[in-house]
Amino acid sequence: KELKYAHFQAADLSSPKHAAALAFEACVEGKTSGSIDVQIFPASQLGGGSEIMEGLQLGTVQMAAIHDGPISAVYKPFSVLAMPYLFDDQAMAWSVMDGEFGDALADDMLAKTGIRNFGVADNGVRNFTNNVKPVAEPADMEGLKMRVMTAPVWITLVESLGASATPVPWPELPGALQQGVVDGQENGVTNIVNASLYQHQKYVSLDGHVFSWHAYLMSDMFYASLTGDEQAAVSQCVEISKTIHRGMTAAQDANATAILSDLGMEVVPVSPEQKAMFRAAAQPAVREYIVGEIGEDWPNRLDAAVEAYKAQ
Amino acid sequence: MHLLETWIVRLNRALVAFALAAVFLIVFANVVGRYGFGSSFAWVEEVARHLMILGAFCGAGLALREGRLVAITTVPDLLPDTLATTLRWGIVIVMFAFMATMLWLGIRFVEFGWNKETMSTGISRGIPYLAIPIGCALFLIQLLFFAKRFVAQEFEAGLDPEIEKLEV
Amino acid sequence: MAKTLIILFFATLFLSVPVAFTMGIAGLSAIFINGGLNPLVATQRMFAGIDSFPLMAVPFFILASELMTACGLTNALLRFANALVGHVRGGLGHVNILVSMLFAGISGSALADAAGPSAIVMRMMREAGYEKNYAGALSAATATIGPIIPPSILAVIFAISTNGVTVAGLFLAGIVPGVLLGVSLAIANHFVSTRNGYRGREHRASASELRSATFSAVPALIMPGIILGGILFGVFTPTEAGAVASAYALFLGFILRAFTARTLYAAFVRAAVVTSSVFLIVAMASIFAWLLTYLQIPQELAKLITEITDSRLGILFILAAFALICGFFIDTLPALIILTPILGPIAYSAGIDPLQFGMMLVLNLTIGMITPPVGPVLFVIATVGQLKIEALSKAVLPLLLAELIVLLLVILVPGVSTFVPNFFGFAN
Ligand code: NA
Ligand code: NA
Repeated sequence: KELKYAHFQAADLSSPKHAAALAFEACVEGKTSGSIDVQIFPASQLGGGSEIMEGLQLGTVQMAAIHDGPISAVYKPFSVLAMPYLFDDQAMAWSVMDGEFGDALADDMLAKTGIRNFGVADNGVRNFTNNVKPVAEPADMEGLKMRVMTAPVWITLVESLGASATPVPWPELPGALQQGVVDGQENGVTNIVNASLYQHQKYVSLDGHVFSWHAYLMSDMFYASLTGDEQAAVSQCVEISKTIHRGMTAAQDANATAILSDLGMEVVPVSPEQKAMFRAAAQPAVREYIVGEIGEDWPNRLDAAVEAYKAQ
Repeated sequence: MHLLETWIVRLNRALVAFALAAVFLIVFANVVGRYGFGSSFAWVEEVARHLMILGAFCGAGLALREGRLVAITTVPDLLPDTLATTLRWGIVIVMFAFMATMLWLGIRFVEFGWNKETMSTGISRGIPYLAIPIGCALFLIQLLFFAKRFVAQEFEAGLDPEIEKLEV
Repeated sequence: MAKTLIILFFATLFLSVPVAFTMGIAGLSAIFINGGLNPLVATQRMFAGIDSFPLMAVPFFILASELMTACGLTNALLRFANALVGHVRGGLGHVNILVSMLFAGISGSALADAAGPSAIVMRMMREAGYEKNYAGALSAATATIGPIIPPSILAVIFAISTNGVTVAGLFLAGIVPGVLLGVSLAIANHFVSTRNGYRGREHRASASELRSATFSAVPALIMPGIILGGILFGVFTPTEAGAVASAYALFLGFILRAFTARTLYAAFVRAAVVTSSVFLIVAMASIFAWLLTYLQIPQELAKLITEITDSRLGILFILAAFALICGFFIDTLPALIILTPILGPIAYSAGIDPLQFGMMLVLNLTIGMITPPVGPVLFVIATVGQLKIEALSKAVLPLLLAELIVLLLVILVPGVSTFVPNFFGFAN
């Protein structure tokens, strides 16, 4: 059986997604003695996020590691994960996503879309960068022209913090920063480094507003066509690649200060008090937007999961 | 019949010109907005793309009429006239079959996209996908009217003002 | 499935099915015959292939050059070039080259140049006693400068199919090769004119003639500055630059009272229809290219090439030769769309700068526009000038040689493509 596996990072061992995909290939082909032939298509070779989501439903692609934006466009409740300043750290984020909440979200998605979600790795936590001034609290965002992804929830986030939001598609972002079309942007360390965004951005604020989630998705049609042993092999191997993926980005996030200052950026630390100011400014507005889109249910469940973790 | 064809061509032209003009206006307004008033809109990029796609698919029939769908004509040029004519009828049939299939697939694709959303405006993705069946249907209509002239290679000049009149 | 795809593509191409359809028909048939792939992937690729904001620079630059021509500014450029170099040996030949370089700063397409200014100078050259095939050949050759000097439709299409290359960076990469192209054609024209005794105008343009020609060309000469300056100083993205260029041309047209409602409407219709024919090819090629990737054909080809050599230059030469051969038989645009995702990864993993590779590919395939059997620019010139393709192809040979020397420079000296973009901070 052919398993075409799509992802969007460079075919490079330092790309977390690619390293994880290669591990998945070796693992599955080993465990199934080659009854499943994994073919990896890196660097958006088979299409962008939205097309791959469609491809999973059409059965033209069997598996993919996809970021949250395109998932939300097909399965709306996923956009609840755009809630800013929610998780204190990776351990908390992973625990919530691996626990009851994540499972419930995956089950609902499978039922509604025919796409099976084996779980998520994070592509690191997103931080603001800009080329104008150090930003340590919301007041500093005033007057900055920030690039956001082309979805309204990101505009809400940036505008609630007092900056002006300019939607720019990802492929145009390096050019837009280089040419100064926008002053700043927000991304995880991986993207800041891999897409050379640091070249034209002087300041990075480690505010960690949102986790970039990359979900390991499989076409359920394909999953159903597998034998019991093959299904088990796939599940186990996704766990391994998830661990690799998380480990690599976690290492980058933990060393963000060192990595980014080595690249010549001025790293602006954000204290817990300052982060609380960001939260107070952004969370209510974004929450209101999300509730308007998907209702109260999922936001409440997410809050409950976070509270439960904190109570432990 | 001739009148109907004239009107279809006119409407088709108006449609593609309007799409291009609209795209031009909103993209330009967005630049002005960003620099003049410091504001830009998330929907501009997406709406511009989708309008352009609509215009592109809908213009295919006009491109056919004006002989702008380039082909490599070495073989028909070498063939005797009757054979070349037969070959061109074959091409008409092949193009018709292909676009009819794309029309059918396009309708299914619209259905497929109906319960998904676009990234920026959040409208149903089936709406922009309509460009494919609409464009294919228009092309098929134009091909039916134009098939005979396509075979005879009697292409139209389009709305050309005469560049030739330029002088130094 | 791979066999069906490739055989059907070449068979339909050979039987003179429009190029856009060859790729769609081959792709869809391969999908149906294989049976394992959902045919909706064809519609999906067709849509996604043109669902790109950077690609919208294409209609804008087409519109801008239509509007410029409609308000008579192309004509003004011609007078300006004539006043500047019309009097030297082979003068009208040099006018042909210079006007193409100036027009290239507005237009992104070789066909627009061939059908517009080049065709006009061709007629002037023939009236002045140049051999008609040489006049045609030079007009065809100079038209290829259009997509090299920015803006460039081909550069846009290369950049959107490659990660890590910006449209702006590739625009800048074209400046030096574009000027070199002009220079090498001027040298070739000088030799031909000396041998055949083609003279210039009787006398130099007088100061007042030159002044008036310059004055009326200024609005058109400003356009490239607006486009490149706007992009470089971050006022707008290359796509928006196209819209701004169109707005500028509209503005000029109104100031000069050059438009009637009818010519304005005609310019929009024509730009839209040309855009359609370009986008149709992009959309269909996207089905075809997706299937090639899906069947892992590029990966196989890469293995094959790296088995022959692993030297950077060696690989670049193989890729260039491969592209040149493809350029003989496939039209420029579809060739670019198909080859970029296939050859690009091979080049990058050999350490070739994407800007250099992009410039090599664009120039290479553009040169293919003036080579038979499939040479669209040659066809336009032959049609407009009522020339025989065979005779025209023979006359184009020395000029082709001059262009191949520039291609060789682009291959051997990375700096030819990378210096200007690197200078402005576009590095990989
Ligand atoms: Na150009
Ligand atoms: Na010329």
